[in-house]
Amino acid sequence: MAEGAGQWVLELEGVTKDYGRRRALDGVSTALRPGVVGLLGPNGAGKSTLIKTVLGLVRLGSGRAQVLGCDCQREYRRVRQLVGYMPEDDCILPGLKGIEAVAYAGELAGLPRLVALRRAHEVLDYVGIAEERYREVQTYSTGMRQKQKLAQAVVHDPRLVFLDEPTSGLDPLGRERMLRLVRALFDRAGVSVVLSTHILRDVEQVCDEVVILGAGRLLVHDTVDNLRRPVDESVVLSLDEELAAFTEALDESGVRFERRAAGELRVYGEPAAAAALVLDTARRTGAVVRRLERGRNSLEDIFLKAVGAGGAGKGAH
Amino acid sequence: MPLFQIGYRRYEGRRTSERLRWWPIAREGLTIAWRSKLLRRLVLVAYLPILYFGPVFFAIGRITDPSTDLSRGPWRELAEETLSRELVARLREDPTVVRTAVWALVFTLFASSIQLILAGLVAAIVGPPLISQDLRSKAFLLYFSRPISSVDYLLGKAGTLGGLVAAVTLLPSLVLYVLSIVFSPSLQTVLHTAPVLLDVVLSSFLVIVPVTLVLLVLSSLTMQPRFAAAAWAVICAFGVMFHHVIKATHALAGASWPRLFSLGETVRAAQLSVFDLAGRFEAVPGARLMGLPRDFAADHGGGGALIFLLVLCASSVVLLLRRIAAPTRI
Repeated sequence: MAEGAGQWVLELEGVTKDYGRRRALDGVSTALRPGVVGLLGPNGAGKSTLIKTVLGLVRLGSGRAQVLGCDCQREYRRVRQLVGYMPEDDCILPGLKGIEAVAYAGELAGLPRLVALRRAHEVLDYVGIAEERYREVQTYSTGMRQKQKLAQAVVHDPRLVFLDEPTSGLDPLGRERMLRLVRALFDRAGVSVVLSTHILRDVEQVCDEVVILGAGRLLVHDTVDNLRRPVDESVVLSLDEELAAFTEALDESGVRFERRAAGELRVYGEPAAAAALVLDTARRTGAVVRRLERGRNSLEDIFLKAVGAGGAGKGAH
Repeated sequence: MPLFQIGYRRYEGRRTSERLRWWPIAREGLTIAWRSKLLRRLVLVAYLPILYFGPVFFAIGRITDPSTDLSRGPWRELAEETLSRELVARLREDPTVVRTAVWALVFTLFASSIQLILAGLVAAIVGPPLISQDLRSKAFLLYFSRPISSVDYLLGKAGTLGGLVAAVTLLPSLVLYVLSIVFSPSLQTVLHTAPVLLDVVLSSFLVIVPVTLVLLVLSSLTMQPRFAAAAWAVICAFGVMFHHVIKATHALAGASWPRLFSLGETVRAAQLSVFDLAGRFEAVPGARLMGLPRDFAADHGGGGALIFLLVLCASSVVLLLRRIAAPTRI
């Protein structure tokens, strides 16, 4: 199939991979549309194996993986041309300056030398590495290294890029900037992104779709909007300080509610009516409502539910 | 930050040939290695013997030139000192027949002067970190997430080390060859001595290829470059030690197989077999190895050495390809 054929950037059909007796991927089948996709799963879920499968670094036991219509096993060179990879590890090439390392990565991907150097300057500008590009990469801070790795991953202009924990070790400001860059890659340049991370808030913030793996199996693949759409209508609130009188009054009113993490309460019911009840109860009991909003599913709930069910052998595809 | 940032731009331009993907790896390795002052000095040392052998070829050029008056000038003495009086006389009488043998002898002397030692030292400086550092820093993921294969990677790394070993073996020999042609009385010498040039190239590759592959194997077996360097030092030290044991032991002196325990001796035996001094001087009527050091003309079991090096190189390549692919399978 020609490059770019079809609407999928990545297609997996019954992908299975064993390391000795351990099954790392167990019949994973799914297809990713262009966009930013979060790849979630606990340690050992098969995320890294999936990425290595796509890059043609590991031989599949069975099944088929395709990037933009190119077979990952048979056409691995073509696939690697289309794919960028930002590993979690530093992967530093000793003795190289920032600009040299990025240009070198471009050359390895087939860019002519001068073009690679020009592209390296462009992508280093894009990720926000300024004069530091003339320093050796070993001297970079964690934040700089993450930017450097992102630049190396996109210097050859891939159509799909895998980012492995891109915000790991970054301060809040650095994390925000990195996530903006990741989102802009698709929004402005049309480069699809698969974001492999343990930080669920990052996925909520930038991803269009979520894929959750557990024990080598696909547990969930859906859009973030669908996943976060509440199953039951509710409101979520937090009080200035926890008052037993408030919860007792709610209990007496007969409304269904539950305590959530960080002192939050979820009150079930039609949102307007539930909100009115909450405010009325607060007025009567002297509680101060600090936050009150329409209830939504959090990705954390979904993740824990999916991984828990998957771990118990009830894969919810 | 730049005053004006163009943002992310697509690239639709030309890509280099897949067959040349090893070249950036080799070039980058050479660039980094060349920053070492010690390495640059070692490479310089490799060209110093030309200061001696260059004048020898100048002398040979004068001797083989019929218009030269040999009774004057210092070149006759220099040539006689290097080649023996009888051989110089034969060279003067019949240069076309004797020249090839004499050139082969001089290039053998040149190759065995310090080239093997320098090759070992250059390999010890450049080789150990080539693969081990990539394993340690997990840089192999950077390579193999790009459209290059294990063979490209191996060629690139071998290109770095092989290139620098060539800089102290093949290149000085080629420079000397060019000088010797320049000092020759006519350009016909190129035709007469073409087989010697081929032997020079071959004998250099007999150093470059095994040294490169063995060191890359050592580098691929560990994540610590110093361990690879130590292993190489042990191999070299063992070789030198064994060489002296062979020389001191009469029972082993005649046998060729004990030399296989020393990589340096094996390479040397194979080089001598390529230059084929015994055969070449056999073809010179009247020369009969006159004044030649016996060591150069004796049978060194070159055939066995060549086979040993071939097996060593083949097994090194197999091992290297397995080691290079292994980390990516984890």
